[in-house]
Amino acid sequence: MFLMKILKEIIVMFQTDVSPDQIAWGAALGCILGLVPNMMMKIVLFVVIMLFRVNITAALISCSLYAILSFALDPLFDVIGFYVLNIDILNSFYTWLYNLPVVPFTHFNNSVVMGSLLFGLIMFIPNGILAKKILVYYRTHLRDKVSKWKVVKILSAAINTTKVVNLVK
Amino acid sequence: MKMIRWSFVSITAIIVALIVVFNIFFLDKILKNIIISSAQMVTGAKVEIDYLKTSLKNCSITINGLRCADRNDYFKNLVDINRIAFGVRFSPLLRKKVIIDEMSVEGIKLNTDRKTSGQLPPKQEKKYNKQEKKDGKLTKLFNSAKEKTTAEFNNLPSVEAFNQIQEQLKDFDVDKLVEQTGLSSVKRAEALSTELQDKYKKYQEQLANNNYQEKIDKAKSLVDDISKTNFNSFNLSALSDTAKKVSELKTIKTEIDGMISDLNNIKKDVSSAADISKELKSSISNDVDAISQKISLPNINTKNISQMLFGKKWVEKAEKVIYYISIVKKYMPEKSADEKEVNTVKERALGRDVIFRQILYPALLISEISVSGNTATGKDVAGIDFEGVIRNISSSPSMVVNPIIFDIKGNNTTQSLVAIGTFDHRKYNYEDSATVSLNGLSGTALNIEPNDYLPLVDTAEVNAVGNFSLNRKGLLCKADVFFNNIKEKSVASVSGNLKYLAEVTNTIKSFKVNLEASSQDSENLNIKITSDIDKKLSDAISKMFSSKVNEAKAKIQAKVNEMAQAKVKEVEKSLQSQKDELLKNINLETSSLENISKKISDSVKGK
Repeated sequence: MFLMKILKEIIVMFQTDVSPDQIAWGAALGCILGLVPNMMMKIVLFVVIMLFRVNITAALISCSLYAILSFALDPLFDVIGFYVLNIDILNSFYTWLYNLPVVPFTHFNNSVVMGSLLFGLIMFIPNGILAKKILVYYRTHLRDKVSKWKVVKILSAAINTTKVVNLVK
Repeated sequence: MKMIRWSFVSITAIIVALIVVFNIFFLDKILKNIIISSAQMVTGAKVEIDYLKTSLKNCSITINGLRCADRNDYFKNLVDINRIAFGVRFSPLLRKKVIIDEMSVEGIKLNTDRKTSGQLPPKQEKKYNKQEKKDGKLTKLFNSAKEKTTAEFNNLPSVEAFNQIQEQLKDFDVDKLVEQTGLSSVKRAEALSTELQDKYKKYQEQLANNNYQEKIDKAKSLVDDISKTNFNSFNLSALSDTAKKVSELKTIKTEIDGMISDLNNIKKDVSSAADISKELKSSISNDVDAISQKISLPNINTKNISQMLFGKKWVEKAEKVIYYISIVKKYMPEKSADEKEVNTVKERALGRDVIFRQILYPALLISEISVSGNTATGKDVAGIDFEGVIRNISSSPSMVVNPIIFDIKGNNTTQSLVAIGTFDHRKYNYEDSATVSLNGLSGTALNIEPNDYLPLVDTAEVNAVGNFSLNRKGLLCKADVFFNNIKEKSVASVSGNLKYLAEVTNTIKSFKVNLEASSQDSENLNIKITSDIDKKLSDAISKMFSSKVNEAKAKIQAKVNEMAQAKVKEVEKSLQSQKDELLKNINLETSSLENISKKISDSVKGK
């Protein structure tokens, strides 16, 4: 059922007219969520996703993809993060953060956490723009072709049936 | 497009509102229970709080009516505090650190009475006992010493000793005592008498055996013969015979002169026979000493009276001090010897942690507590109003710049209190020291149980100074207590032997007690108690009974003298007739011998 639900959500996202902006920024936020390894940071980002009207499915898909990708990128994040954390000019800022009540729980002083967060933030706008462009291109050129696929038809039928059943209920 | 997902915001707002409402209605109750159970774990007795109010606005807590029962006396409160108020810094709380900049503790009272028992329910008590077993070696050390010393301090010297002296003096009978003892002077007189009798007998025998008359007769016969000789007859044989007789007579004269000399010597010896009274002088003195010893003061062990009287009390007081110190040590550990500096970069499984300079807080820090209260333990007792500050209380003293210090002072019209101390646990070699000085206290404040051996200490004015120091090498707990202006006991209300004891203690108007508990090797706790009350009691006892003893000794002297002199007279009387007879015989013999000696001289002269 869970798998069905996810598939349903994906089909709805791609095949319906859900706002491309919501999907694009959801994917961009999901990217940061997937890259950052710290749980506290993940909770903060999840709250941000929940707080803003972005597409949660897009965020979760993006999060899953980037989480897999992060395993390969961790050494890079370590180098970036360690470099950034050791910039002298920022030392007082980090010290201030370090002595704040909750912030140390985000483990921002960890090189991988800082590297991945920084990478995610840098990639946030390009990710959003890229995601929007891909979606728009898909909806213009590929959506009709994909909707003719048997698998998509079956799933769409199943979704509609569920909707009818829910309405009758 | 609408940016915010309001459904999420509203759900979050509801949850936050619920938390706030919960805090408003239940936080105080929960906090109160937490404080009570924690304090009960520490004190081992019931802890009560009348009212607790928290304010989320400035993170402050106000506690009214905090009472901690005393685990050693469940109907007493160890401490009774009217009001405690403090504010907690918010941000360290999120890191589980309680930082209090200023705390106010008002209306502190110690040892107040309780209406209900302060004993914990059995289940909680069991939990507490389990916890207590984990106490440090300081408590263990003290408990072992306590068992040893309590047994020692419970053996008070018997009041019977005083009774013994009194009975001895009351039933004093010289004749009986002399009879029981047997006088050596009398025996000596008898021995002297026998000696002289033997001597006289010997001389009498000597007189009888010497045959003086035979010599006299022979000399007389020779003198007669010589006087009959006619020197004009020219009878040569007769002249030769006479010459022989003269020669013989000369020899006899020499013998008689020797006899006279011997008799004179004997006479001299008999006449100057030993003065028995003189001879007995030393024996009489020995007799007096021997009998007097039987009525001398019994050996009352006054040396340890102070130890026995104050020992138990001192052990109790020292136990309390050490108990509180062990709590301080337990919750404010000293810096460990191998504490290391924090690394700046720490390798992790995922990446590296860069460590920045952190403002470190101990789990608990109270920068300053202003305290005020009264030392009165009951409503009808006027205590000392005191106030002062305690600074830098911390669960991790090594993280605080300054050591814990306390400075409490108080006084009223007649009394004063000063308590100053430092607990420095910042270094591995920790150093705790405290000095408490109390002046003008009433003796009742010390709670010393009335005792027959003590003067009325309740009426005394007490000045006391206590010092406590503890470091890694050992501990030293000292107290000097001075009791002054002690009032007298009413002797009329007591009788028997206690009366004498009361008379003795009434002579003591002031005394000092020095108490000391020390341990150098953390293995043995030495408890030493000294006081001048021992000497004062001893002197008073001696003074009280010595005049009576001296009087008895004089009686003994007179009696012994009387008995010895009687014996001397008896001996002298019995010897006198023998002596007189002997002298008479000597004189007779001497005069006869002297006569014949003279006749010989006359006869021989010119021949």
